[in-house]
Amino acid sequence: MKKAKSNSIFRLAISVAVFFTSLSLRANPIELPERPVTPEIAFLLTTAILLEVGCVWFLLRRSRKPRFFVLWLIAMNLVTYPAFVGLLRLLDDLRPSLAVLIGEALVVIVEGAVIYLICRFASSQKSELPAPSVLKCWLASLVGNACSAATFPLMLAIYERFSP
Amino acid sequence: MNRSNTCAIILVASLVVLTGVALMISAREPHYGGRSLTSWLRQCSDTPLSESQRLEEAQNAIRAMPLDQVIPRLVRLVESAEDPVSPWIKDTSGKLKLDFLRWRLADERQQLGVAGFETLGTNAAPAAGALAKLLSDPKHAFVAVRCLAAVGKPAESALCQGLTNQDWRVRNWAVPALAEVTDDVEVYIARLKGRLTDSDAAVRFSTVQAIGAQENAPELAVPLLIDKLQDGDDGVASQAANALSSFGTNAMIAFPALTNLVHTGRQAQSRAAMKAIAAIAPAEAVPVLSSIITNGNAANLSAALRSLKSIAPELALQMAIAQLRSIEPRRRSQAVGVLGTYDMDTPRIGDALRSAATDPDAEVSRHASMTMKQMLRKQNENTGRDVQFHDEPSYDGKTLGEWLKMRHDGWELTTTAAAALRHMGTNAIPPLLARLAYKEPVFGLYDFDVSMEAVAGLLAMREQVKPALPVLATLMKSDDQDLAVRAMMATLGTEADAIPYVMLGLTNRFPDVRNEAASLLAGEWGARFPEQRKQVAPFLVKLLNDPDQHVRMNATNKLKELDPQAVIKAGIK
Repeated sequence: MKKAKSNSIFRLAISVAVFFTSLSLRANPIELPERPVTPEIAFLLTTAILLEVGCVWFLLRRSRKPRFFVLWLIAMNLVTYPAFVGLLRLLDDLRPSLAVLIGEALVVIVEGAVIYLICRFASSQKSELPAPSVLKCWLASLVGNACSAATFPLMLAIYERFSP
Repeated sequence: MNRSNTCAIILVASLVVLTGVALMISAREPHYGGRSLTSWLRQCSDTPLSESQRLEEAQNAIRAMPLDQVIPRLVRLVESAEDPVSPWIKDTSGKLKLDFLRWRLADERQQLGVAGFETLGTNAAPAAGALAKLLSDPKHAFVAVRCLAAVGKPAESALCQGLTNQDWRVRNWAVPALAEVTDDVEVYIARLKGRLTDSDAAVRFSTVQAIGAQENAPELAVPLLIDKLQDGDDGVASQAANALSSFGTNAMIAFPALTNLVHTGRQAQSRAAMKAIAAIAPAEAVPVLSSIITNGNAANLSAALRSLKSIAPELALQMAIAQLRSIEPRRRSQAVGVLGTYDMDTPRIGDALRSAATDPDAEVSRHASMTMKQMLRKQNENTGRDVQFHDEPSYDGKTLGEWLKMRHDGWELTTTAAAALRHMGTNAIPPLLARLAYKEPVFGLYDFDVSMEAVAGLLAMREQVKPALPVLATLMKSDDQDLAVRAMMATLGTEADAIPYVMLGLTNRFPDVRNEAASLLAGEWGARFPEQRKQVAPFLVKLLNDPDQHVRMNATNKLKELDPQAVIKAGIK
């Protein structure tokens, strides 16, 4: 115990003697807080998904759809968005604009197909409305994705303008 | 067609599209060891030269891939052009912290191409034509010339084209690159001549540098360099003088022009010319330089003394010491700077600098003090100087000095050394005190290393140091702040007995000693002696009115920790 105490005095004294004999350090470091990005990502994703869902719902409003169609679409997007980001990781050898274009094109194809399947299999058979064709589903997916992609920069600007 | 068949077709079609895209992307470039060319190029481009094994691995992989597939891919990378959307995407990914997306913009992809061409060297000769075409494209010319330089000899004619490119960076890069690919020095100099009158100073500079490197052709190079002594740009003219000096006596014909430049040139030109004449004709240079030192402009004094030192060090020393008596402070200060370049054991240096340290001009005196400290530090670093003290006590066959060298990484003594010192007992105290206040003989400066060894020794002796406390108190009152701090620290090993001496530090003339004494007493160390510490608060209150701002700030903080009521009473929020 005694030894430990002496060692601590020693270190204290030595460090002070060394530092003070060269110069007095009066540093006052400033911490630069980093802005958290989670709320921003959450805002952008939510807005983009809701916009896309809104567009798809609007375009397919006169077609046969399941109950809670909006929830089906949201669930689908919760899978396709991470998949899209993962795909970008695979394509990051390409120029960014081309990689995003390919990624978006694949998302449109896959989402169109999934929407078609949802409308075919999950909808009520009693509905008098006609089931949407696969082309219509792809068109809806294309319009929905185009809307959300086009408004992404706008949403980003809005968030940056109004974020604290 | 029934529903399930339709669904199956849609799913299959989607999967086919996905697989097709994936295959298309992966088939775009050659692979080696399961990794794509781009992946190896990234490794090659991102690896620092110091990691030679990793770099070599990537280079070997690139060389192992089929050239007919690699070269077109590299050319495409070099041809990369930026679109308006990609920078925004990269920027946004960065803002959203999607760092796993390692996007590369056009210029970064071009760098991958350059890394590839540098790896392939002359093996990339088939690309020379395509790269030469890029020289006429302002957006790609610079990256193209870099690749052509890497290709080497097969790109010789393209590099010659680069000498007249509209982009100065291309011309600048082509100048040294051509040296690698031109076999005949005469041809090389003939190719470069035109660039000596280039509109851009950087190109002229690198041309002068390149011509100056042709030391085996003085008859061709020296006349061209003499002409460039008059260049309108200081850097180019100075470089011409430097280049001439590398020819030594072979550049004798340049001596008159250089001497003229010494007297009439702009400052940078004069300095370079002084250096050059010393290298070209030492004997003839001595009177020229001596005259500049004695009668020349103060701005050139340092350069003249340094040039003279390179050929006549003793004369330069004499003249530098003589300049310490000049009436112009600037000349005295420059002389101090030159004296600092000598070895500290050179006769008369010590006296000269000590006297300069008492110069009436504050700047000269500060410069002299700083120079002495630097010389001492340099000497200690270079020679690992071991100061010998006579009649020091010994223990177990080793002298005190030898025990003091037995330390951990810092200053702390090893357990064995500390025990040895305690065995020596009070016999060790006088020599330790002598070491603590030791002044080296040349400049009379306190020797930091020797002094710190003594502090370590005194701390290791703990309560045995009690008889030395009055002497340490005297040293705390010395005229040197550093010594005062070290003396105060050396008392700490005596534990509670050190308290009165540390309290004495609170009224020391040096602010750093007062500051440190306050920190010690109010901090962890003082907390171990609660009874004695009760007396500290009134002293800290006095420090609230200290003339030094940092002492006041520190005292306020310490007093807040120690006795918050006292701070309130003192009217501080």
